[in-house]
Amino acid sequence: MTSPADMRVYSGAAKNYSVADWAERQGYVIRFIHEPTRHQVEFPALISDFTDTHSPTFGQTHGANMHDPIITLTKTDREISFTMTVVNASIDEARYNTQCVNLLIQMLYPSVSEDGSFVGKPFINIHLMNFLEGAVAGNGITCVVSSLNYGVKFADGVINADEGDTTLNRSGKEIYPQSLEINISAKAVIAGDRVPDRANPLPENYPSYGSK
Amino acid sequence: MSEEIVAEADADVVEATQIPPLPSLSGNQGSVATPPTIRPIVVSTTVGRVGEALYPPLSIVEIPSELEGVQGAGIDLQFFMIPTTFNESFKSRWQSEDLSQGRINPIHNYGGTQREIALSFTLAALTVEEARSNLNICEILARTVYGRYRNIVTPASLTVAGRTDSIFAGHREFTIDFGSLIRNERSFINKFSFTANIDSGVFDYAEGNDTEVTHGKPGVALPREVNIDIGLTIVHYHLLGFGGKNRPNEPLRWAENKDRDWPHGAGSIALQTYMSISQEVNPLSLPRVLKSGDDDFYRPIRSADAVEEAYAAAVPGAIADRELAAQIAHEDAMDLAAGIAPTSFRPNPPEDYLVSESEP
Repeated sequence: MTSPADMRVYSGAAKNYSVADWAERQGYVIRFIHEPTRHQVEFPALISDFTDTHSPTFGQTHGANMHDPIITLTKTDREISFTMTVVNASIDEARYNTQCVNLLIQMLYPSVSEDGSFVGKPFINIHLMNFLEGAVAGNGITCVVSSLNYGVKFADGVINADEGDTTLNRSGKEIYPQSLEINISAKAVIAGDRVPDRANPLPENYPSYGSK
Repeated sequence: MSEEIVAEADADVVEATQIPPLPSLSGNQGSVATPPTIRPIVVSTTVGRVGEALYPPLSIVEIPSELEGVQGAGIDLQFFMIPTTFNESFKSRWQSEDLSQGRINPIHNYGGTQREIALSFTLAALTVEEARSNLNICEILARTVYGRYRNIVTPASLTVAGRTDSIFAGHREFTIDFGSLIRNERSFINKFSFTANIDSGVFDYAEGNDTEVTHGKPGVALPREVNIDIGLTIVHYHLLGFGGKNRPNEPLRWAENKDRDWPHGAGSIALQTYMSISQEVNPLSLPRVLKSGDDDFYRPIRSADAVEEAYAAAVPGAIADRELAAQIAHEDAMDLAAGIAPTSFRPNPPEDYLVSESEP
């Protein structure tokens, strides 16, 4: 049986030129785990536009001779979105990062049974340093990822394979952007904390943004 | 880097039919120059050569219709361009059910993941001929978003004259390839728009025949730069996900089992283990799941005799109740259809099956 993939930040021959080296030293790493299969992949956390929105939904009941409604809290949703930049400093890193991004994209797909039905919903556990951290330090937050956008800005430059330089790009058809942006939108699934003596199922340190 | 190439392309305009190789475009300065290639003269002066040097061609090939009588030749286009943006979106369909007030999480139901691509690129022209070629590409691309039609011929009879009706035959589907980013994916084109960038200039009319920079047809403006946006909806005909029928007992491996990266190519580095190929499986060897509508949905998969025989072997000396055996055979079929192990596959028969050892 195959083991789950464990793709860490790039550590190949050109690591010294890579942002991966700096990210690893700083601990600036974002990790994704596909929950049905436990495949995991990491990227240097070059994050922009991180937004974490907690939205309560209220029911309102209006009564006679009352100005203000009776408010009833129905639920609270947590939506997360962020943009991550993947930077390639060498063709070796570009190829490795392509495989990492491939795995991240594949995490949006479920486990399937032999008759083709979906058996493992594609929940993704995301750990983004102190911004997305579960109740237990080092664990991420289980998310329902609704969309992943992969964007290439060709004006930032591309990396071709060697063959593309010497012949008029019959480049083995390889093309890698020097940088690409990945935007992720997700809803958080809250891990309930059922301690017998405590009424509140929310973990005490939820949400944790690393203030302690 | 791009400016250098444009400058060089400007310098060797017009006469040369032998194209010198481009200078190395990366740090690989020691690379060996290729021998000169014979090309048509327009190609030697083209800005498109920048695209050709840096990027793979965009290939759009129409998949022939399976219907008879579809009109017109299929679209088959391959050209170099200068891409500006490539945006690919993967959207998962989730539905959330709120069950009760105060419940921390709703139940999330997953329905599938869709893939769409938006590609923008520039077609630039240094010559009149190239500008015409670019507009021709726009014309062909615009046709990709229109449907197909087919002719139905009704032969003449004694009372009615023969006639030909044109009937809509649905959208066009294409195989699209763009280097390692789009790899021979089957898709339909959901958007085409083009913008002639007039600020970049046009090739004007001048009396006489066409030259490199003027044309001989009044009332025609040939833009030097055209920007194009196309949108693709990818339709996958291979399995997506982990596990599946191509990976029996391998639930962690990628379902396609084709020994390639997906969705984007990663060149010559080794595949990750979960992507690598495992033994091909003959689909006929896999267990079949009965579904309602199948001819044999309600037919017992074992006869009552077979059940009786199996239980007699499992419990020597037991004498079977024939009626109950027939009922078990029927329940086996129902169990299998529901996706659970049929009763007769269980190691021990139910107790009520054993009637009596003394019964004749």
